[in-house]
Amino acid sequence: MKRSLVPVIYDFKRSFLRASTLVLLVLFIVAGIGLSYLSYSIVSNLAGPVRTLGIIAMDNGNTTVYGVAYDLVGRQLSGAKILFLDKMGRTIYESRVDGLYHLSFKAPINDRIARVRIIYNGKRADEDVLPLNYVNKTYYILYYANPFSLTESDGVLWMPPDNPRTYAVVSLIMLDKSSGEALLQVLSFNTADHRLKPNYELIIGYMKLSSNGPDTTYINASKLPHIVPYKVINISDPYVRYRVKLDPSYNAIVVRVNGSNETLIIRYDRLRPAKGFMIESMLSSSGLQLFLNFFPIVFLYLAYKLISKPKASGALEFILARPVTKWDLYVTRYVSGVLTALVSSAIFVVALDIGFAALWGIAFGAYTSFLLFLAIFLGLVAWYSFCYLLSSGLKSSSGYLALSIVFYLLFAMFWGLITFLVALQIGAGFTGEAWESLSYKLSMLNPIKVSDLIIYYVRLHYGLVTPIQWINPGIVAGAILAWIVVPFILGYLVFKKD
Amino acid sequence: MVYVMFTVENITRYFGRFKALDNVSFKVDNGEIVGYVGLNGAGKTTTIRICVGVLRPSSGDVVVDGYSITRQKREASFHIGWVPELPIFELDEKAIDYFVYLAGYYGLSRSEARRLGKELFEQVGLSRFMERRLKHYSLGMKKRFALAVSMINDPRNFFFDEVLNGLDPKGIAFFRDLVKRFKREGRAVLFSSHILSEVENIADKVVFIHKGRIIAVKTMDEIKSMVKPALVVKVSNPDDKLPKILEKYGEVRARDGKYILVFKEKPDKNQIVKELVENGYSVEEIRPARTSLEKVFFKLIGEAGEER
Repeated sequence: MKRSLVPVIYDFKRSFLRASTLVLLVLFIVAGIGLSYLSYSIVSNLAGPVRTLGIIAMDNGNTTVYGVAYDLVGRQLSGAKILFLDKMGRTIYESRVDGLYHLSFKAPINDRIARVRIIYNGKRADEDVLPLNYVNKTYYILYYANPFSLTESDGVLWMPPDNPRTYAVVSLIMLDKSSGEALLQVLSFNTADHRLKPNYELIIGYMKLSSNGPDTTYINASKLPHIVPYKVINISDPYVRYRVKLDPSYNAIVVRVNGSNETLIIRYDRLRPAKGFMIESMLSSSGLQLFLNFFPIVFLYLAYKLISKPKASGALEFILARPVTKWDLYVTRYVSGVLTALVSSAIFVVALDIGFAALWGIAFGAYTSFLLFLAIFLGLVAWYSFCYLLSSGLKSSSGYLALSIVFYLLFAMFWGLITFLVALQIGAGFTGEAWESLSYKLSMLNPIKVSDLIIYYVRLHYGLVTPIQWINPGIVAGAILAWIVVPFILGYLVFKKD
Repeated sequence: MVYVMFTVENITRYFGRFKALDNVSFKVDNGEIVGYVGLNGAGKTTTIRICVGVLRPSSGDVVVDGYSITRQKREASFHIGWVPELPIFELDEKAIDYFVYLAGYYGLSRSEARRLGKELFEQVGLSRFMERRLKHYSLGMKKRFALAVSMINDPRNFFFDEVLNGLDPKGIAFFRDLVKRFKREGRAVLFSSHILSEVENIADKVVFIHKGRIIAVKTMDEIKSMVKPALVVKVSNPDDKLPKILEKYGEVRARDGKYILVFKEKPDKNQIVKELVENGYSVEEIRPARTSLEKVFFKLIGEAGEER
């Protein structure tokens, strides 16, 4: 018998293209982006969305600057504005720069540059400034990412074999905690002649530091204990950048000038990937949480509209008199809800991604986007399946509404309190790994929160959560599938009864 | 050869412990209109709901054009049209949109369904109301809409459940004519109604149901033969002598100033009128009694009650 997709498409249209669905979707997208901007503002003060590092040489008012402007993940920025400020905050000089820049200008002799500011697309950062002593009547100042960045660590090397010395600003940007991917930037500057290219080698290695101690250490030592060599980099340009792999068995990278004892040690166990910061800001933003907690109301209503109400009124009977079985009807209406979840989730994630890219300048990336989409989509489907079961099982549509609202309040609104009470009862504490582990365990009992287990993998990817041993893809898939499949089947068993 | 369009085979249906239908069987041939008659709660609607596949029987089956409604639901429903007593739809939808949606279950594309929708809405007299939401439809319009939907696949079998209830005279005439047309077109029609005169006018056969059991299946000829011929006589000046005059022609029963005469043989209407006039009566009306089905029905119910 010829089959048509018209009923599925029609049910999907009246599920998705209904005012309540669209209005809530638009509302949550707007709220999501708006609230993401709020958290962006907070986080960007810590992480610094734009960066610059460089060296300033001031010789009797003739000022020369070598620097590089880049974003949180080390991409060079074109059209950034650099301002050199005195200690009163007054601008001594400002200029537009593209990526790697070289500036020469005349500055008042008595005005020492006390702060360097970079502005790009309305985002700004004030960098940390390190004044050095005079070298041959020239006053040198280094600047680099401020120490609160948490995503990047910097240090300074100077090479004694050269006379006058070569200075190098070394920066390590954490890109991906799970893979250990990082970016090493080295900006070198010869104090004898700015135009001379540097020529030295850096030996890179790993070492394990005690848990205490500073983020960066400069030492001049002939021997260093427990260094594991990684690679040797030849520095022949004023600015070089290398992708490096940070070994998770260690916690610090050692940068040593070949042929000298000059050594810089940069810890990386405390660094967090810049993108992780941004992702965390997005994950914890009220925007996403609003969507995850409130958009399920749409599916509570859809189950009412597609099954509960027509079943209670008797309208399903007229459809059942068509060449269709109860199974066909049950599946058709379920699929239309699933399609609504699919399209809503996709639109929300794309909108969030666009908003994220507009704020931070980078997109989620396929992995994060896909997992986020999967989490939102499957979470909505799990909740929809649960509502579908209730709507199929209860004869009264008002009874369905009452019960589903009670469950909604329990799962979406009071779950935090329940988790808190359970933690209190078993003494799991309210922060740390035990709390996290308990939260994830309890989320398996909640169709609205079960997708938190997928978001766990997003957090894990960016090093935002410590690995929890019992969580594995099998458990996550099993928990989510159980919430989708079991209510669906039970719902059908009661639906097919007259 | 008459091909049986659908047969109801020993269907029994329980609602909890209540036996709503008890081993119900009958058949409807093509080109046959079968009246389905019973008191309220006798099981007419339950039978029809089972026939059209919206309710499963506890046991038994209905075979429509060779397809079992319980085992081959899709195929069987493909050959069925149904107009329920109180059609219930999802009322927020526009009539034509809902029609297109339901037509999708017959495999029609959106454009095909819209084209067919226009034709059928025209046929059932709803062409001006296609874009109106179903919640704004009257009961009569809903029945016409249900009929239009039932005709999507041009089925050979129709089930009309108390279809005349709640209709204005125009609506009643529409459905009466429609059923007659279906008969001419060779379709099988099961027509339940408690307006017995209507059933009597259009049915070829009547199935009597009482308390969930089929108590008789009679053709209209059989029904007529079960009832003694009678005349209704009305005079403007009745008196005590009148019954005595009429008794010569048969058993006399007086009701509301009318005299119903029961005859054992075919009466001579002219002779009665002549005698009444000669005796000084003014005859207002004299016609055959038209309540044969009702009489048979109540007779059968009475017998069924005694059997139980």
